[in-house]
Amino acid sequence: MKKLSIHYQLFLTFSILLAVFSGRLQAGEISVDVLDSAGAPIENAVVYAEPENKVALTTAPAVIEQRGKQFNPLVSVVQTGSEITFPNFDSVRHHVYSFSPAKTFELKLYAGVPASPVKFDKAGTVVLGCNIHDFMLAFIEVVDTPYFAKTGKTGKVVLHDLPNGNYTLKAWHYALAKEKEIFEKPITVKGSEVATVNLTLKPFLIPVRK
Amino acid sequence: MFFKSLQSRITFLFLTLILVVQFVGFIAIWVSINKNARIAIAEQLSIGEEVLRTVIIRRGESLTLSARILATDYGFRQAIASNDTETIKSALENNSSRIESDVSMLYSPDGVRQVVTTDLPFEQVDKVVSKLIASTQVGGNAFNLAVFNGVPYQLVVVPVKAPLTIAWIVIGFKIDDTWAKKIQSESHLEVSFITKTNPSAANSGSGAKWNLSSSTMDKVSASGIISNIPVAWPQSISNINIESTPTSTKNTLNGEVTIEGKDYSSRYVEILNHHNQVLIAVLQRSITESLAPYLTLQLNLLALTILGAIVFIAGSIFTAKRLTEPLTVLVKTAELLEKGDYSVPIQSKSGDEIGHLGRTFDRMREAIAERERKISKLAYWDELTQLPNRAFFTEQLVKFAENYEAHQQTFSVLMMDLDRFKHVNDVLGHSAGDNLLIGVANRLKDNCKRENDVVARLGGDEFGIILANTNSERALEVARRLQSALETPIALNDSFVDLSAGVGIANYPEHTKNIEVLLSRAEFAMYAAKNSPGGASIYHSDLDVSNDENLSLISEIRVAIEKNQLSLYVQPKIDFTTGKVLAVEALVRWNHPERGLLYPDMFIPFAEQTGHISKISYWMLSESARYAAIWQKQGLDIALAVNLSARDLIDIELPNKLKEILAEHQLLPNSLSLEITESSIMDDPARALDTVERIARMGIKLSIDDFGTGYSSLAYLKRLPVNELKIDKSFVMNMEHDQDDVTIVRSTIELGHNLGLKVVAEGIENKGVWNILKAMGCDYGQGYFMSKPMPAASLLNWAAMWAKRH
Repeated sequence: MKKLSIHYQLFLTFSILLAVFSGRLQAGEISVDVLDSAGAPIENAVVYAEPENKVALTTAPAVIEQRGKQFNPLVSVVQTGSEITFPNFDSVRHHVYSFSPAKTFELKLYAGVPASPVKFDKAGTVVLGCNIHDFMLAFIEVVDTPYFAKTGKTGKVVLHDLPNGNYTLKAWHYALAKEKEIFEKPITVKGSEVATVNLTLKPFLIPVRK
Repeated sequence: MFFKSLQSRITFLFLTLILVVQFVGFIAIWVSINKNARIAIAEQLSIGEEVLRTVIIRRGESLTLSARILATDYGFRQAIASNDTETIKSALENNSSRIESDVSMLYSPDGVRQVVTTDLPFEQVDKVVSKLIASTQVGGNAFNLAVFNGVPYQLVVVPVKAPLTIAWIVIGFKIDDTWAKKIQSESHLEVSFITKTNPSAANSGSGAKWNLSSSTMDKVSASGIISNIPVAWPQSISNINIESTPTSTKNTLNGEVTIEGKDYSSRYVEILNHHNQVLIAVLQRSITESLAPYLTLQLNLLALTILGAIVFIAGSIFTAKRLTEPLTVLVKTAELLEKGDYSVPIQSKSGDEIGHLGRTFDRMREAIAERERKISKLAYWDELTQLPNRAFFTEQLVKFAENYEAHQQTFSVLMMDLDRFKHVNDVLGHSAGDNLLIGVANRLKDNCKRENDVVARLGGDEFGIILANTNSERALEVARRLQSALETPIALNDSFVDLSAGVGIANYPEHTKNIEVLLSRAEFAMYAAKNSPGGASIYHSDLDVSNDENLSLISEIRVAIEKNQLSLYVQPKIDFTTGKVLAVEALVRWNHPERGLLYPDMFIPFAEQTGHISKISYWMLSESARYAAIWQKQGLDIALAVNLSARDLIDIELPNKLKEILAEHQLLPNSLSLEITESSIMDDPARALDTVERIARMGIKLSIDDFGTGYSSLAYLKRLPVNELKIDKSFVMNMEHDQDDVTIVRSTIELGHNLGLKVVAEGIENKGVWNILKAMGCDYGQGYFMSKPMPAASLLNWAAMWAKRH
């Protein structure tokens, strides 16, 4: 089994800098830096803020395509109740499944676009696999808030249009050293907030297509 | 050396050599086989270890594969995801029975045991599993060995992914006899597994004991492995490694152990040593078994050795025979040569050294035969006359005697001695003498041509002849023939020499069966013949000193003189003209105490042969002188004539002795006279003449006795200083009837007178002869007609009576 890259970062510290934009009173934003224990930015980290008071969710359909016997994107983040379509662009069939408690499903061997999307109606992490191709892996983080984002290479995300109020800032990454212990931090949004999230990651092997 | 014969020695040598070579070879091969077998075993063991390790890896991989198959089963993963323990367990069990594994367990992703199918010491199991999981997570071996309750297991850990790891499947096999047999089938080694576990980590090593977990050997032998574990384990093996990570170990130890009387080359392979667990595979190869095929080889070799030895024995015996057989032939031939048989040639065809020896030996045989022929010719041959010599003659006599014993063939020995040979030698020289002998030899050869007759020169002028298968008459005939053959004169140096010889004959076995005696008797007969007119005579015991009677006489002669048994007789010599007694011939008689009165011819010949004659002569001279003296005192002047022998004449002391005798009795020389025969001078004429001349100068008168019988030379007669001739009685006795004798006597008388000598006639037996002689003018007469010999003491009376008559 060939491994393309191995992250040997043992610790990752998210430093979330809360930047409050003073000019906007009704709607603020949080700028978050996700860092590992060495202070390096973490990619593919999911950062979301759950408001103290429930807000209406505005679900939008998402797509996780299978191309080149890989799920794309590797990490998706959707609001609870969102529907995700799994179009297969490969010439081979895939059998997409999940045994995750947040959503257990399977799309038995299919080609092309499945007839119906899968609805993810429960918050949590869903690990996707293909029963045909063991190396195919993808993660869906289902969150109960419309305020979420996924870090890029810079490890920086900005959560926009957050009404002022109290929130719980959370961060998840598939390589979290302690899987169940999602980063949580209360944060009050008054304008542009800045937060730093430090995450401790374990070595994680992203399986690569043979 | 133990062996006398070359053959056994060669055989022994060959056999010893082959056995030594074979033995050394055998040992060398045995050592080599042992060494090679051990090297081969060591190699086998080394390969066995590779097999073992390969098998472990293969088994691990196949185990892993089967675990993976289970791990990827969708339903199984669903069951895990839904935490359906019952289903998981049954799936594990199902899988277990399918792949015949002994251990099937499920662990959570973080290493917590969740589902088990068998009972195990889980505390240890969990530790091992967590190590395995950790190892797997960093890409290490997904399988390893572990020991639980002394039983070794091979375990594999495989993640269940969905697609992230949702659980770990642990599957394991017991490393048991089946396993051992599998390795055995691939490595052909005895395979055993021994373990040592440390229940308490704090108590490292010392308390733990080895445990046999499985083996291809039977239980008894296998238990021997534990009891035979080498004492000196290397440090790396002996110590249980408590904390080391489960990496494959490469510690091995080779050794030899004896189990149940069998030697095993053993290789102890440490295949696990971590976490208080030690697992050692013991690979073994029975040395005995691996030597078994070589044993067959050795037995074959032994058979070959024995066969080789037999072949070599046969070969060496054959070779030895080939070597020794010609030698044996040579030995036999040599033995024949030793006995004097040179006739058997040696056949040696072979070209080798022995053949060469044989041929050389054969040449030697021929050379020896040739030399012996020459030597024996020299030994048995007289070169001068080309006749056999005395030695050959004697040997032939022995052979004839042997032949008599076998075939009763009698034979005669003739012995012949030339008369006057010394004279010829002296007068004509030695070469003339030699030529004479050659001439005689040729005549003898010409007259003895019968096949078996033997003619030999016995020495000097003496010849011997053996006449085969004959008798006295024939022998005498031959003797006569030989004598007549010699009568023809032989030409020497332009002059002719008359020959005569005395021949004596002795017959075998008539006269004796002793060869020596036979020869001497023939010789005696010959001497007797010389004194007789016939010239040939057959042995008669009376002649012979070696005759027992005569032998005793000889020994008694000396005694006779000492004991005065001899007595002096005299026979008068009468003057024909005056009829007076002028002289007497002194004669000897022997008054033998047992035999009575013995006449001279009974003992004088022997006395001559033995040398006693000198003493007798001396006695005669002394006695005669004594009587002469006595008679002179009585007024009777009668000379005594004493006979001298040839031996006396060569005695240069004789003149002196005569002087002493005459002086002793105060006699004049003419009181004694001496009578000598012609032949007594002829034996050694020079010395005899010298003696005679000296005596004559003393004034003693000399007479020639037996004149006419001795073939004497008148030349000698002329030179001899004699005064008197005595005509032999053989001419005188028959004068009345034989005109020839008359003529001879007359001529002799005339000859004597012409030479100025007195003539005496002997043997006058009657008046007629007396008258004839008187008429012829003979000077003196002697004979029975006048008087027989009488004791000297009687002479005076006789003389008185004779004087009255005439």
